[in-house]
Amino acid sequence: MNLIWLETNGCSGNIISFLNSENPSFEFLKQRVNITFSNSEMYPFGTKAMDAFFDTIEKGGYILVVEGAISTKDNGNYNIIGYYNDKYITALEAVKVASENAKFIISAGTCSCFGGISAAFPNVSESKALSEVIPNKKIIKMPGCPVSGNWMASLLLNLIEGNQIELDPIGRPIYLYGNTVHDFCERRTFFERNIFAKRIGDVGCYLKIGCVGPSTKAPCPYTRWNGYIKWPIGVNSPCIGCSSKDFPNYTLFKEDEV
Amino acid sequence: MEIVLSPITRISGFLTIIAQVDDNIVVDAKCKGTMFRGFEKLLIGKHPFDAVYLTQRICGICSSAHSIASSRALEDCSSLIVDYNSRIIRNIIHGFDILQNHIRQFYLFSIPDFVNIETENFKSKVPRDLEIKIGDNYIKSLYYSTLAHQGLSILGGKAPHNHAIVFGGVTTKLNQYEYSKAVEIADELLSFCQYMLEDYYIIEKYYTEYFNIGDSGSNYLSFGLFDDTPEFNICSSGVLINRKYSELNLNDLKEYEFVDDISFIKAPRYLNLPMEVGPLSRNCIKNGWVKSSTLGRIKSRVYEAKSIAENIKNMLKEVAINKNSTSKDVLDGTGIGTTDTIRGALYHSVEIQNKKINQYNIITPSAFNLSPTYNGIKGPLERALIGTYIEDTSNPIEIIRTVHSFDPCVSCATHLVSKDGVLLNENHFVHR
Repeated sequence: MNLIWLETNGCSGNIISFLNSENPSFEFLKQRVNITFSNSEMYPFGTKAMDAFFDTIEKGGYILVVEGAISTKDNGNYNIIGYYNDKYITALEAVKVASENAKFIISAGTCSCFGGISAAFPNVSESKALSEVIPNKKIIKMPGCPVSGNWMASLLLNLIEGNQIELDPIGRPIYLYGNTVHDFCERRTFFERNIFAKRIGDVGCYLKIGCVGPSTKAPCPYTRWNGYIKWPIGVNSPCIGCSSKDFPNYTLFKEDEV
Repeated sequence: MEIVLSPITRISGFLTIIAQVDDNIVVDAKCKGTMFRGFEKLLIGKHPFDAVYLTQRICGICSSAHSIASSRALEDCSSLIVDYNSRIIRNIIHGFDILQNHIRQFYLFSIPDFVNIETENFKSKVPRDLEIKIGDNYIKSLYYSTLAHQGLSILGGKAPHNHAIVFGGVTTKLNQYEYSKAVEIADELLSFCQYMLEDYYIIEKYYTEYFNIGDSGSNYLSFGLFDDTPEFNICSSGVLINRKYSELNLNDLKEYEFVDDISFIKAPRYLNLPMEVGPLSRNCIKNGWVKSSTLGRIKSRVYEAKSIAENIKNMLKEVAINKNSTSKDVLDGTGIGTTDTIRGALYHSVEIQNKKINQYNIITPSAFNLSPTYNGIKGPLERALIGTYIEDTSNPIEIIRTVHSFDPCVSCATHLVSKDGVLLNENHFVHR
């Protein structure tokens, strides 16, 4: 199956995270999915890259992954993805065209899912979530800042194997986003015993210094990050809710309230 | 004829190159960054601590550098000097991120410009058996760049966008279990750097003319890399102008906006000159001036990867086990945080009022390298492209080779301009 990985207004960290994938590995997936367009990864450049983009769309039946929010200011001119037939193609235009013939549409990362940091106040580029610019399309939402490459890779493998992916009401796969970070947090017993960290770097539950694990749905506590045992709470820092709808429009670190 | 290359692929972010080509020679070139978020604006009104995590979101491939520059700016504001152990841990985190990038950049982004890996894209000068050898390492590089991020994650909790670097130090307390894995990863990465060097020398042998292609103007600048842990110093801050070394003076750094140009990238100038930044700059400031070139930049990157892997190995021996340090006492005022990073010199400045961010300004390495023409003077990448001979104008791979040698990152490059410390709004960039 063909795959278009479209980067839009963001940090391009989701494709880097995807290259880090080990569950399964990027190499393994590449033998099963044909990435026909990716600004970060593809060989062709310029017109030939855009040819690949439009050819894939014409053939249809591909997976469309969009990372980044979609800038709508000035008709999308704050984010141009390429030049084709003597005109610049905006990300806004590109996602509209590419979503037409896609078999699956995936929002990778919080910017694409909810606007995220790219749409954070005062949002000078008037960036929006993918679902706001292509309404009425079914989108699988994979939030995270970035989304872990392992979560993305496992989703893609399940999709190409034809497995059903059960989604929650806002479009997130339940097998990944069915529980809160707090549900499986390795520091849960500290919470139960009322042992709260007073400052970042301490051992203890981070609830009183800004941790939003109880309201954040993500599998970080059991998938961990980067194929090893670590994740943010494991290095004595709070969950900042980077997969949440309102990230980052709140204060990440709270003063000691204990 | 005008050649519009958009998108430039195998980079981070969106870059357009517009080249004027006469008789197969590039006679003029323009760089255009085509994405814009106005990152500085979203920091205004935030709690100062948040800047360290939020500014990492500028860039998915060099995020740890932003956390270091940002925490340094806040610490400067509070006149706080972080302890030695925190500096070592920060440099290990940063070092793993640099290795991740250099391995990925060399194999995934630059190598396909010189050898055909999967498909026949151009007439390669490298014999097929050597192409196959490099192709094997290309596949292996996927594992090793992933491994470098795993090393980062052991100390940083997560990559991209680590959690351990915070105002006043680091949150992580490395235990002996985690230490054991970090040691193995550092060792494996160092071994792989040897293959990178071998593969680089194959490219050098068959494309030696690229030592005479891609001169940016050969003025270099560095803010210093790992210079806060002197025994693991990669490069101290400094400037080379017209081959002459001088000490860095941040007052000589200015940035300019464009009212009638076409890029979202601003133009930082040092003593009104465009400066090249990155591994080649660091190499020249440390070891002496050489003329800037496409191969020179690639060579410096590959050599630097090896030095960094060696330093990580040695820095791990210095880390105190189960020790961290953070601070809560952020003071109002102004502060500057600088560091050299993957692509060169990175600058953050902050003004804090009533424990909230009042102003924030960022100048990134790619803003130096990809800066557009200002006052008739070309930016470093633009200048490096002029004079390049292009064999087939329908496939101008020669331009791409030089562009990739700068390792552009446009997510980083596009920022608001500040004048006398005040941010100007985005209308100072006008889009065509």
